Amino acid sequence: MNPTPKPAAGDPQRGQRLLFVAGLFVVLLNYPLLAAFDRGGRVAGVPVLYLYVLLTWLLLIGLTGWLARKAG
Amino acid sequence: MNKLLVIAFSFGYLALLFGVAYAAERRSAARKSLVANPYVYALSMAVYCTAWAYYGSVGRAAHQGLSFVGIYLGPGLLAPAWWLVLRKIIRVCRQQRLTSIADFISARYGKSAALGALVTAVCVLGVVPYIALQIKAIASSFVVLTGGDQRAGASGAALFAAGTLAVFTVLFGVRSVEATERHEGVVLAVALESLVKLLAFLLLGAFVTFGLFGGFADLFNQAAAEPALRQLFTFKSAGTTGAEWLTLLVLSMSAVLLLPRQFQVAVVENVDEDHLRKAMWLFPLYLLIINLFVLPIAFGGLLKLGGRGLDADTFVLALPLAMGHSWLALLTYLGGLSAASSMIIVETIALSVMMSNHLLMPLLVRVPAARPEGQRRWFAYLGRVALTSRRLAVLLVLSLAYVYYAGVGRQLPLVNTGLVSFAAVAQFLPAVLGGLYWKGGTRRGATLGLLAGFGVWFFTLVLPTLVGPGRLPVSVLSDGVGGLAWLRPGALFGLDGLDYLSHGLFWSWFFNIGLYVGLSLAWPPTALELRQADVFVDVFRRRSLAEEITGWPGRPPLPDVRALLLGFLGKKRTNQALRAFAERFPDALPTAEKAVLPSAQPPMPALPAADPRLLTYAEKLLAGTLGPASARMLLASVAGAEQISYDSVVGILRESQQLLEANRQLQKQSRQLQRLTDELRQAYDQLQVLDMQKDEFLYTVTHELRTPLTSIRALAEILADNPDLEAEERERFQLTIGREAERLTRLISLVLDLERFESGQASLERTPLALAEVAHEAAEAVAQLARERGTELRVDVPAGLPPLPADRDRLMQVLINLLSNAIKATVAGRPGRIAVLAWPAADALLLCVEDNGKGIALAEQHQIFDKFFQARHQTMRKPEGSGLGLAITKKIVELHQGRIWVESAPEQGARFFIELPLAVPARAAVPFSSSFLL
Repeated sequence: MNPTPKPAAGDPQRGQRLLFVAGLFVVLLNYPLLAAFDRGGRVAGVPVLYLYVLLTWLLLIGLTGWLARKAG
Repeated sequence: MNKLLVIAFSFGYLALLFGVAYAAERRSAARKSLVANPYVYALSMAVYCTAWAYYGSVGRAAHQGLSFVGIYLGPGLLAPAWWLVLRKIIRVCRQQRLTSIADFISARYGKSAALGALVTAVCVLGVVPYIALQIKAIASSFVVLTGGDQRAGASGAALFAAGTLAVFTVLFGVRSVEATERHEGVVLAVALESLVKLLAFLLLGAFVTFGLFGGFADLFNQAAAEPALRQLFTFKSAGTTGAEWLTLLVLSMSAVLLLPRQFQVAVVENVDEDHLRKAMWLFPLYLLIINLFVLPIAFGGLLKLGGRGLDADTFVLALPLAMGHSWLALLTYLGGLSAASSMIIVETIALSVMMSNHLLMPLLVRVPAARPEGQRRWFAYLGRVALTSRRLAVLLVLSLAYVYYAGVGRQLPLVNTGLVSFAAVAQFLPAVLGGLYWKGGTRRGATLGLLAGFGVWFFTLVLPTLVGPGRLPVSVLSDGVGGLAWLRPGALFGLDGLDYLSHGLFWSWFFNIGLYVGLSLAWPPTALELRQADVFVDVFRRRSLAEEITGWPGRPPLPDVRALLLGFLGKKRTNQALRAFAERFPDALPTAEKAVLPSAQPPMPALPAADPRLLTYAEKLLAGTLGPASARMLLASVAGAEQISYDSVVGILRESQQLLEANRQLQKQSRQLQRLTDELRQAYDQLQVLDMQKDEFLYTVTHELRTPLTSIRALAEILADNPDLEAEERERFQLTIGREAERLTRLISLVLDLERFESGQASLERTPLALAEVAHEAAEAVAQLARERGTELRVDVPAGLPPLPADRDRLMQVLINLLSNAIKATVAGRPGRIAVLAWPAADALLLCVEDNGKGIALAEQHQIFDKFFQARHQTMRKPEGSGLGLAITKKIVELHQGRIWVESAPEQGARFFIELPLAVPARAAVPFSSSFLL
């Protein structure tokens, strides 16, 4: 088995930034902030809450992917 | 649908899995792994979505709206933190060869076997119902699809499924006992299954949303028309509290990390830490996509099939069936089968490894034989036992799950079983997170915290499910255990108002974390626990000395050998040694090394292997410090044999410490020995001198005694033989006889005196004396002798001296001895002048006898006080005196607690000083000996 190369350490702040993102979105997707969107009404037919959760989730994925890219 | 058709497809699908797994193993053996890429890694993590997720999400959404999303959003929220947390776990597990969550926790807390067994037990108890849930899902979906009889068909399908999956698991999951516990075939099969279930669900979702309705907008519009459905649009109206939502998030976050199957695919099966970068967003993306259509399907089902009283869990199959799309239903069913089977396989593998390592093996393993052949046989036996126990564990787990399903599962709703399992593994979170980031966590804290958490989990979350007819009475729920209101499983200690799950999680974590932190702080960690804590918490900061070397036979990288030397020899010696080595074997070290060996080196692009000569050289160097066996073992560990265990290192260090200690002791003892030898030699020399002195003494005494005796005898004979001798002559002879007899008597009494002084029997009679009187008397005694020699004798002792407490006779003896010596020392041709002086000094009187005789050489000024000193230096002339006088004089002076010494130079006369104290010290000990050893 070939030895696995050590992972690209990149910048040491990557971990901290990712941690921050995680924390931020935990707050965004929890009460009380969530309660702000927890109301009736629909956007393009889709209930507001569903849309908020979906879009925030997508944003989280995007940010994570961007922060985790190979160090330039 | 036709039952046989479904069976055939199921079978075919599982055969496909087998094939894929087999192919993956073959490719892996040929070093062309299909699995070592981040996409397979991310897809394998999707084993998180089980059949419960497949069917149950829809069911939950139909009743509670959006809350089901919490179960999938949690992992998504945690994923960014994986870079820190999961990577750390992977690094530690690879370094320490940990292959399960039980390994991890047990290793972190002082390698506690008990803790490992406890974790395994909690996993088994928590997860077996979850596996049973999958079996139920397979069975129910089969029944729904084939539309057959519920009971019989279900159990048949369940048994069939369980059996097939057992075979698959044993074949591909437990084929060999490998240190890394990686199963490439299984991982690829699981990844494939994740794709299948995703595609199937997407297809179904698309069908419902765009086939049955006119898209999302249309669907939600129709749903909005139904009040029962409209209230599912928000949390508030659906009845989801903030606490419940948070609990779901937290539970799923811990589950995605700690479930045995997740730990297996994410940590144990991980090929490269770098894959995490892609997995961190790919996996949440997968979760998002697969859940995109859950609400549409739920609403679609409620709208289209609402009146039929169907279980919402079955909407996924019922909808396409009801619309006449059997093949879509079949595909969906296969998707569900995928989800269930991948969960069962991976979970069973993970559980069997834990059970084998922590529950079964400790019971089955016997003591190894001492002889090498015996050891080899024992290793082979161990291997067989391990393998067998794993297979047994697989069968055990699946049997338990089946029994649970058959006995319990069909009676009770399993809607919350998955979450209850999540809550069970969530009890590991304090120990795991604490173990990764807090060095203060101890085994006691972790064990008792886990026990307490598990206990409360059981009480609050499992007990309520056991309530029912034929089991626990309902009063347990409403009135509490034993009628105690604060022991209600639903409202422990009176904490009301939380939903079932939040309540259970809160209390179980309250006791878990509380005991973990509290006990860890109360009793500090042991040395082993601290060492393990260092290994775990600081894993990113250590050099991965052993990480890449494991499993490599042969040559270790050069930096590692150097690190080893540095560790045991220190920088200076290591550099010296390496320089010396480089001089002797210039080709053995790469040129970059020879130039300089500074402490801060730039990282090497590749790791050069150490030359075998260097290894031998290093071994010799280390053997000097550690002993040859330990040195070899250390180098062997660096060279890629088994990683050296903590205990061996401690043993080595202790051994070398003992060696150093023994060395120190030896040196001390040899120094002591040297000292003793010197003292012995000294004593021996002195003894020889004494012996010689004794001989001389005896010789001289006998000689001295014999001389007058001879004279007496001779004269007596003459007198006897010649009766008619002249009267004058006779008188002369008689006088001589008398004189000689006197001399003899004197000598004998001197010797006896000395002997008495030596043996400490002499005693003094002290009376206050006027020194002047004694001096004059002594001068009188020797006056005759002085006149004969023509020596002038002067006594200059003032009369007003304070009275001296001394023995009169002895003092006389001393003075007469000194005076007669002085008279005898006169040089021929020079008129002798002798003076006796005395004057007072501090608390004493000083007496001096001065003469202008031949003087005494400096070297002899001590020796004259020795016995028979004179005799030792025989001159041609017959010695005058016995040689004992000064010895006795000194003894007497010392008995008076005084001192005696002489000042003189050759040809310049001599001055003998005596100092005698005026006050008699009370009961002072008489110094014995001392004339021997001056």
